[in-house]
Amino acid sequence: MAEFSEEELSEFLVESGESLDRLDEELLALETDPESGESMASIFRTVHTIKGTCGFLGFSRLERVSHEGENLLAKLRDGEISMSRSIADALLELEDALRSMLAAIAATGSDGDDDFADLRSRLAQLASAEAGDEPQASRKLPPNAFVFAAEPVAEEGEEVQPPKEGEEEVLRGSRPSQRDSGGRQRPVAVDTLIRVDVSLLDRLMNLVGELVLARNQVLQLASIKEDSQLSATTQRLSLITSELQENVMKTRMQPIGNLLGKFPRIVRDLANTCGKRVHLEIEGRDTELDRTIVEAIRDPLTHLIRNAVDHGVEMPADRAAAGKPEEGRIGILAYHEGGYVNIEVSDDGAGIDPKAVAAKALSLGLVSSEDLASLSEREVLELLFVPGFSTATSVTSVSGRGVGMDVVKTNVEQIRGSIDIVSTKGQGTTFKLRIPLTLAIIPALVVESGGERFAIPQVSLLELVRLESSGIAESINFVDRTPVMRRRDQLLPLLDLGSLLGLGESWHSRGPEAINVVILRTESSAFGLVVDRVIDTQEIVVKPLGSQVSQLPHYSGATIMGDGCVALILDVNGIARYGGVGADAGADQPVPREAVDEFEGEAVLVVRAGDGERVALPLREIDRLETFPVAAIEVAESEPMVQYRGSIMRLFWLSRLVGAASTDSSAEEIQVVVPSSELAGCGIVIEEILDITHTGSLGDRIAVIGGRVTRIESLASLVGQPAGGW
Amino acid sequence: MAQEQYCTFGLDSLMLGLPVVHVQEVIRHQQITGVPLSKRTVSGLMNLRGQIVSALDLRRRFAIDAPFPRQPMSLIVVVHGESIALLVDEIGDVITAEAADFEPVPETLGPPASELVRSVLRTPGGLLLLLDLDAAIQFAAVV
Repeated sequence: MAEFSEEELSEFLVESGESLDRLDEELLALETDPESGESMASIFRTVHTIKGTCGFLGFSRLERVSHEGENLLAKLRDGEISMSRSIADALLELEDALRSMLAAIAATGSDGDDDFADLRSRLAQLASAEAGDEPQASRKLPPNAFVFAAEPVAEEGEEVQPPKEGEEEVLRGSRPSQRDSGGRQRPVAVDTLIRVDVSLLDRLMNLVGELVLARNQVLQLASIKEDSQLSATTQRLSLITSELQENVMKTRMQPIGNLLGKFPRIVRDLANTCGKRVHLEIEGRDTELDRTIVEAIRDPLTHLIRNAVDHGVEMPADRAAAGKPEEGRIGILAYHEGGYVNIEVSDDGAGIDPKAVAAKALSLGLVSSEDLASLSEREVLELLFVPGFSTATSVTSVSGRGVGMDVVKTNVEQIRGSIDIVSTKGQGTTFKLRIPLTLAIIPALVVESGGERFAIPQVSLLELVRLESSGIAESINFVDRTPVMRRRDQLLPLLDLGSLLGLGESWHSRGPEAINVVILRTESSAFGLVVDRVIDTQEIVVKPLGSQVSQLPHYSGATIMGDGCVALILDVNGIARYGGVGADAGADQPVPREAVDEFEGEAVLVVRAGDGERVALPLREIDRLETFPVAAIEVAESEPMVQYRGSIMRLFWLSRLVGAASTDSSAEEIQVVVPSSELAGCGIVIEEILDITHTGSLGDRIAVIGGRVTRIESLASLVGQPAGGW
Repeated sequence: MAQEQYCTFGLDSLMLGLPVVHVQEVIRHQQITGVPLSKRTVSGLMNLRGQIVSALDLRRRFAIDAPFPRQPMSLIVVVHGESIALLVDEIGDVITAEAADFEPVPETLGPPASELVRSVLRTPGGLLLLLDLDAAIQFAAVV
């Protein structure tokens, strides 16, 4: 037995481990495309190298097993036998065996007790089998395969000569990260990579975080002292810190492909166990993530994939019966978007039935029937994430013990990510994970409301708008007492941060001269957040909230400001949901085509006039909506009117104005559309507000709005008519 | 015999204790940033040398209506790897006691205190209540 050092051994283990990781994917690639010379060459190389090195290091069991594997692979490569399911199975088993022996070596220093005699004889048997009836077409071998032909294939017991330097160069190909070392240092130009302990990178990251905090403090102190030299130096400090931060983050970025590479095998094995046929498509392998994110999503993704195979994709017979291809498709899509990493796990399986979910949740006592009635379809699907839930009709050993989905959600939220389900019964399900790219240091907008400071991640920020009183009157309307702001042909619901958090009265009660609106984007829409004061933008270090507060949906973390005080970081989606805007309304329904077309055009308020006539009123002609008790109506000169804001408002019933039948006169309140200033002194009484939407040009008298025939009226023309009494 | 050291502290008229192993440090009241919409028992967050620590108002936890008459002291404890600040009236001495000397919670102690206390110890200074740290922290997260 040759002598070797600790270092050589550990290098062997690490590199063999990496090779085996690739082997997984390559074997599966070879199974689906047996003609792939590249996969073949790579696989052969891996097994050959392991065999050679473990022989050199004296691990005879490992050597024997890999020898059998190598034989089989050689026959495959040379076209003497052809790929089959049983060969693929055996090769995958070989990989597992190699892995377990390497693990044994790592743990005990010897390659374990298992002889793998079974596996070896199977490999030998498969290698000696005939090619089958069809004559094998001669396979095209890629250029570098010829290098192997030149190498001596070692007989058992013979020591393999490590490849000479010249040959090593050829073997490398274009992937510098591959190191087919036989356990010795190879002086190759490709060695521009070094291995670094991950904990060292973590420490670097922490230090950079603390540096950013200290830098913020220095910036704040410097801004108080007016010293140009100090300012200049502080600026430099700031620039250097930012660059340092950026570069340290890069050291920790890994392509997600490394993680995703494990899944084809998992899907294959699981599908076989379940008796299903599934293939996995992966897109976006190059998407880079911080290492800690990769670690954190490993388990959630695995669970989602297993779920998709186990519960999502149907049995081949059922799929055929439903007119689907027998082989199911699971897709993983990863991409960057706006400072987040999005990972979508989708399947074209049976989809999730909201009724089944609702029923199950009810029977498990997870939700009451009253609550259930008020849930949207999307919210019902989210019940899947409640601890203790499982829609599997039979608990399989694979997944579905009811401990899965809530843990998935928790894991994702722990890295400040979010997870959503979209599912169509009979068609399939997609889980969307959204995770912030930069875990620790983010640019943020610091605002103040109700006397407290809050940080809003800049990544969610669309625009900052300050409205003076005239602007308020112009751009803001009230629908059912909810303020809505007009911005570039869009209507944004407004929330007041202070009142939302219970810190004070909302701006419209206080009637300020000017308001600051922070326009934010949520997953599915946008809204405006009114704050008392906008302070500035800063880079902040995100610190996690403790267990006492982390479950609050309104905050995604906390930070320490320049003056040492703690400030909360708002979770934009959480705030939106809490305030009842954006997140749910229609998000789970596809946007109807007509609505999309209507986004160019005028914003209108659709109301009911009389019993059932629909009328659209241009929003720009409307100032406010008010409600009055019927008792407040007074009659003067046979004309009904009410007192409104210190003056008199004449009332016109829309039903009369448009000639709509009106049979219900029992209402105790009236809803009045108050036109904007040109039509001062008039109010239009409507029966009910139906919608706020957009329509094409207002030139038409009648249009289809919201799927229904709707009359379009201009307030001016309505009110110009002779007054309608009652 | 199992001798252990206990950190004692005062909460209104109660005398409470915790094994010192749980106690990281004791500090005078720090500035606390309130967390709007959090539970009543959560006083807010404080900055402990760059670490953000939740502060629990023990008076509220024990359902003592009267607020702290003076600035409370912060007892920083470590629970399941996380540092949490317990706001109390005052910090007492560290005492040594036998585990065997602790007696079960007397029936005269009603809820919520009875659920937050593991056992009691008769001392010359009065009845020492051994705080059930898990219960004190846990519940605050749910209520």
